[in-house]
Amino acid sequence: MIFEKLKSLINRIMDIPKDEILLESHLYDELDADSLDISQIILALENTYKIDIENDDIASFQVVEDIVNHVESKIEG
Amino acid sequence: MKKRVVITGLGAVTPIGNTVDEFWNNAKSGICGIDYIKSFAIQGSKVKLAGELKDFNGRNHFDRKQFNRLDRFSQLGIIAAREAYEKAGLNNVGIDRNRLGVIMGNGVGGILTIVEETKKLLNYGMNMVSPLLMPKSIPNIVTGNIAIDLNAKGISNTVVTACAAGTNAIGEAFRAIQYGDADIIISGGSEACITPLVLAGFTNLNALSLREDPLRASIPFDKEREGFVMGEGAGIVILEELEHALKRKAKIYSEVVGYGFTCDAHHLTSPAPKGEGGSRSMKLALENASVAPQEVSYINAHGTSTPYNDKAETEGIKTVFKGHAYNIPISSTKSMIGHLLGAAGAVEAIACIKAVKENYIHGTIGYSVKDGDCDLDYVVNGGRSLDINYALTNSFGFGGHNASVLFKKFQDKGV
Repeated sequence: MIFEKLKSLINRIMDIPKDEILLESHLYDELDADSLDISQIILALENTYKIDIENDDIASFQVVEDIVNHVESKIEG
Repeated sequence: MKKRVVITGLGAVTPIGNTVDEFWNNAKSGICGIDYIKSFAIQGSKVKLAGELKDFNGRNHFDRKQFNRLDRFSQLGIIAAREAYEKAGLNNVGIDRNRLGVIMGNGVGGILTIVEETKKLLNYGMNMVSPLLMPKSIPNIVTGNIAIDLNAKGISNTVVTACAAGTNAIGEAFRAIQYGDADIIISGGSEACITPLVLAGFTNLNALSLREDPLRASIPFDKEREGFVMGEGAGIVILEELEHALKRKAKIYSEVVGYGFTCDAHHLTSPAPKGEGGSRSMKLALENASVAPQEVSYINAHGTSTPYNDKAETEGIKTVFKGHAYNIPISSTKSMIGHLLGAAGAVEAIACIKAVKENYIHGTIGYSVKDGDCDLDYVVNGGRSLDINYALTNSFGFGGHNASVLFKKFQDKGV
């Protein structure tokens, strides 16, 4: 579910086809994300799932799965 | 020794054409680009008319990610800059990127974005405001965007002098090249603020025409004028150091020879009595070029269609040009496209440059009732062929800003 949501956000914000977004896709090296993309994605996730994502955590995200796992942990927490 | 500066490229997105050629051909034909506002419902608005772009879709020029990051005023600036850059023959040419600059003017920045994000703030709270709000809306971002798009790494600046900004920007670019700070500068203005908030602000200031006939609303120098008509668009000129342009065999449209700018120090919105600040700006531009008033053969007026501006500008012209004022054809581009605010001076500079290049002055359309206070030659019966050596453009802005730039027909043989 979270992965699907994240794929939709990456597709809308970064204009990347959903089938090219994999759990192991590297945000910066493969998907060519920049800080503005990440800010938009994080804000949308925070609003959708009513969570807060810390700046230190954002800085640690490397692949798509890192974000999915972090959001999952936040929701469960 | 100051360097000589020439114009080697032009680009425009206007209510009468989305390219320079379309704009200029329609200007020569006296086409009116003012119409009923279509971008939002005008039921509650006293003002029904504006100069909106026609058949324009920013999405056709940018991919989705780029588009989402650009307020409309940046989009227009980039599109016009790309056209000017291409017309200047700069695509795929090896130039020193560190000597390529950008100096843009605008009046209100990305206010369409500010309005959208304000709605989100008020309706849904602070968490819903886009991270893109600031990088889309700050007035200098059009300059940064053009620099990114065209890889211009040299000097860079943004002029915010309301409706004088486009002219100030070109003047500053002229001066920077004169003093050796850059080889080429992409300069001009862009504006996109036709939205109920801005329309209401200008309406309640009694600055706008309430007329509903598109042909009788923006009527500069006409006795029945009652205000300006808002417009949107962008104008870009490529200014280049003469030797640099000659070396790469660039097409030269005209030379830039003078720049003057002043402040009224009088009132927030009204011009100083007798157009005193504007007259000093014109005088400085002529002195800067060492050109005598009687040598000027065309003035592209600020000519907004407000009662105060057109009277004061007329008086200011008489102060500078004395008896010769009656011999100079003066036209207002705003009669066709409305007032493009921070982009106005740039689009009107293009009208001047084209006039000098083609020896043709576009007319002031819609004029019918003579005003005793405005008794100069406003070119009111269509355009006019005339040999033009020097053409002056004026722009005046809220805050009392006045700017004038003087163009000269290009001749290789010395100044």
